[in-house]
Amino acid sequence: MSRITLDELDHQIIERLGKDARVSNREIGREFGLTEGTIRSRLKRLLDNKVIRVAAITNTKRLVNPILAYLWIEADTAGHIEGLASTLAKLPEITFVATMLGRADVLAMTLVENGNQLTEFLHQTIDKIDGVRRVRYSLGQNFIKHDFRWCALVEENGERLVAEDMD
Amino acid sequence: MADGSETERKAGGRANGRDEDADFTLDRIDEKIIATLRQSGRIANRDLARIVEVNEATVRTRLRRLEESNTVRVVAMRDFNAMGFDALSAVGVQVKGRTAADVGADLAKLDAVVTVSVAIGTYDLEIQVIARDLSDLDRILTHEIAHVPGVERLFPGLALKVLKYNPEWSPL
Repeated sequence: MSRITLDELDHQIIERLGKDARVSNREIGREFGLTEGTIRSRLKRLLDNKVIRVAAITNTKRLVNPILAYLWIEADTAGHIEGLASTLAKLPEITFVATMLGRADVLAMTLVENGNQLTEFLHQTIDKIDGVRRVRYSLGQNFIKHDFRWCALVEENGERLVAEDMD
Repeated sequence: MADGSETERKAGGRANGRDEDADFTLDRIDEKIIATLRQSGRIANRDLARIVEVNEATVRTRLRRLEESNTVRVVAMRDFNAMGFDALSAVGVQVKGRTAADVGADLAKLDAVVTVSVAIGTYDLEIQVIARDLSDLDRILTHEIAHVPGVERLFPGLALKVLKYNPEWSPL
C-alpha cells in the first residue's frame, strides 16, 4: 500500500479541518501564518492521496430513535465472503463493511430508527444477497462515543469524490 | 433507512423558519445541500448553489442555519490506514459490577476507542478500536481496556479488509 508521508503542517491542517472544514484556504493560511497557495496545495495532496475526505455529518438527534445495528453475517461458504461483502458495501443504507477474523465472516453496520425497519431491511435486502447463510445482530442504542473523524477511503466501492475545491 | 429523507418525518418546527431552533424542519433545499456536502464537503458555495438550483445567498443562509442548529457539520475525516493505523477491531464487552453506561464512559476516554455503544444483544457494549499494528492492539486490549473497572470479558474480532467505512451520521 502506498502511503504519503505527513509532516507537522499536514497534521495541523487535518486537525483544523476536523473541527470545521468549510473554512476557506485563506482563513487557514491566516491562522497558520502561511499563504493561501500553500494551504491549497497541501490540502489537494491530502485529498488526492485519500488521506482525508471532507464531507457532511448529520446529527443523529435528527433521527427519531437512532439504533446502530451491527450485522454479524455468516457466509454459505468461505468462497462467498468476498462477493457478499462487496454487495453489502454497495448498499447506501450500510455505512460500514469489513470481512472479519473472528466473530463473523462479515460485519456490516446500518443505522435504523426502529425494530420494524431493521426486520424489513434484513428480510427484504440482506437475506436476498447471494451467499448469506445467517445473520446475527446486536443493537447499539446509546452512543456514548462516535468519533466521526475516522473513515476509510476505499476506491472500488466508494463513489468518486468531486475534486473541485472552494477558494 | 437513514438515507437523508427521514428527517422530513420529524414533526413540529417551521418549514421556512428563520430562527436557529434545532427543531426546524429540513426542507428539500436543506436535504439537497446535505446530500451534496456528503459527496464533496469543500465544494464552493457558488457551485453548491448551481447544483441545488438556488442563489448563493440562500446557500449561505441555509448552511449557517444547518451549522448553528448543530444539525450538520462539514468535517475532514481521516483515513485510518493513511494515518498509520493498520488494525481495526470490533470488540464485544461483557460488563460486571458496574453499569454498561459507566464502563462505556470510561472506555470512551481512550483515544484508540473510536466508537462505544451500549448494546442489546450478546454483549453489554460494542466498541471499535484502532491500533497501529497487532502488538499495539494487544497492548490496548490487554493492558488498557482489560483493566478498566467493570470490564469482565472481551470478544474481539479483527477487520481483515475494510470495504466501507463512511460515517454519515453521528451524535454532534
